[in-house]
Amino acid sequence: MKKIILRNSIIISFVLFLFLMFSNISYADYGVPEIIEYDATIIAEDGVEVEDSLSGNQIVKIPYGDKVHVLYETEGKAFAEYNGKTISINLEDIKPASEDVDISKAQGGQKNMYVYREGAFLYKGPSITYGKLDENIEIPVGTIVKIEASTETWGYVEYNGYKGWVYIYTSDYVSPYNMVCSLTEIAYKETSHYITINEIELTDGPGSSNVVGTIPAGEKIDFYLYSNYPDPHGECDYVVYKDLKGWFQCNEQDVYKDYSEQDLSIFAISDCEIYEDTSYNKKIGTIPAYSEFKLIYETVDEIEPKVFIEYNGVRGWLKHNISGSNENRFISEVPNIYKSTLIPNKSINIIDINTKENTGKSLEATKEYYEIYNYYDFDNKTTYIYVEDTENKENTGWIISNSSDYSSRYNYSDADYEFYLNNYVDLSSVLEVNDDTQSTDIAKEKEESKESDKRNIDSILENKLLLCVILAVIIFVVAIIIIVLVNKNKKNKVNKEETSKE
Amino acid sequence: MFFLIKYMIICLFMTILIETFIAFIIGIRNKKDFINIILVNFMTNPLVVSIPVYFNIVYNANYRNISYIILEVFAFVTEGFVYKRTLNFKKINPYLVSFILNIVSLVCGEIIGRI
Repeated sequence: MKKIILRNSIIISFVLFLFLMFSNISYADYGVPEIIEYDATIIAEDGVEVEDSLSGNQIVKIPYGDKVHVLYETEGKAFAEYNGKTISINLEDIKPASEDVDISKAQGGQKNMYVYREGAFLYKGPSITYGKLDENIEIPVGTIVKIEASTETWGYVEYNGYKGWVYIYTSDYVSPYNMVCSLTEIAYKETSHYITINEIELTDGPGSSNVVGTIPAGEKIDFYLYSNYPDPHGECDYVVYKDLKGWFQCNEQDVYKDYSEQDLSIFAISDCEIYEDTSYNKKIGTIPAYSEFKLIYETVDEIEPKVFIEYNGVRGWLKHNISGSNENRFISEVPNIYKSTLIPNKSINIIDINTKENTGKSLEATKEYYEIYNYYDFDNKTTYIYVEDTENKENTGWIISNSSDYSSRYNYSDADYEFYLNNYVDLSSVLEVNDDTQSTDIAKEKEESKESDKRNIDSILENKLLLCVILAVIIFVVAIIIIVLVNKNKKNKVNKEETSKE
Repeated sequence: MFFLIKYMIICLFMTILIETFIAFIIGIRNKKDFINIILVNFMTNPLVVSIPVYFNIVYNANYRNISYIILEVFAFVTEGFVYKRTLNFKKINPYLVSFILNIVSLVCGEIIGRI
């Protein structure tokens, strides 16, 4: 009896597995954002003819008024179930069967978002098929909204007494509606200026091709980084230039960083050629080895940045040497925020970097020195460090690096971190915002998030996940019991056979 | 259906399918042995699947990776222990059987996940 039950259970389970495998394709696995599924009716007066998404060639005719169950939305279409088939249908051909939305199904957490452009309309439900609440109900630019519940694409908000859904999908990958989102999670202003190399075009949104204006070459611009991560070279950036505001995908051909207002030096390890432009065809000068000169611009290419410098009145470009040799090589001064302090354990000889001979001077033991330059000489296979007395800047010199001769202290402290953070300005504190429930203290938020490793996820989602784990534990226990029972029967059977043989 | 339940069911059945196939290849022919292999997967697979997902969503990928490693080792040892007590197949050490089945299903799972 038990054998039959076990065998039949296995067969039924296998059939169930096949059914699940072939009837439930997870579109989320293809990067399509998840939505709150809903029933919709066909509103095209003549009905619609659509393809069966799985077989690809079977045409399905759906008359006006029939219902479909929408599973996912992508690129202006809905993937829906109809009479056991999965079909793809234009969003404009359907309308939700009911405007009642179960908000508890929105499994994304709460968050604050900032309206940075026009178009933040409230909708009756989490899809454009629900329609707008009212054409006049638009959240104005500069508002910080509190998203109370969210899916990947829509957030439930309350604004000015109105409750509704606003489009919050900030990725332009597989956009459901080919809409540009008017909200963003974080806004920072980078204080380093950028200069345009060529004329650049600004668009009205990330991934959009609608040009709102152009900025001529050679102009200084401010970057506001609207993205989840303040990375100017990865995300699309928001740019402000005089009265013009728009979006721009930052790359090395179009802009470079302007250091002209900062006092950063470069040291030539060998003779370096100065070129007229970055094609490196026309030489306009030479910097002798072991000279210092001023850094003016740097391109944003992190692998091989190009530098524009000034030496003895000559301005031009240097070519970075990535060959692993000393030829045409230079090094940049360590920025203040990254400077470390070197404390000699004993007296260390100061050398002449040209001749590599002792100068007769030395660093004093236990005194503190800043590291200004640090490089590995490929010819001598030695590391050299240029240090500056923290109390007397004129007391400087090169030493041969020998880690047993000194200790180093990294100066990157919380104070520097705060300084660094202050270079990023939360725009919500810059613009006038009347919502006093919002926190705009970035440093405080970062401190608080450091305290806990736990993500800020919705408690309903967390409880559901925990239930699944408990279910797995129960299955574990039940399986052990079944294994014991099955094999106990086997043992009993073997014992009976042995007894009967005797 | 909640996405994790769906995911657990699919992973369980994929694992059973792959492991029974590999068991057949290595020479297991006894019906009871196949039943035990299937039951053992019911025992360990849901835990190995659900706990890392929980940690990944509630905490972060580091927690997920650590729990995944611990659970895989737990699964290998537990299954080996059960196979030692229950399998009629004696040609290969039961812990080695557990190792082979687990490593193949792990690799297949990674490949399928990336396709």
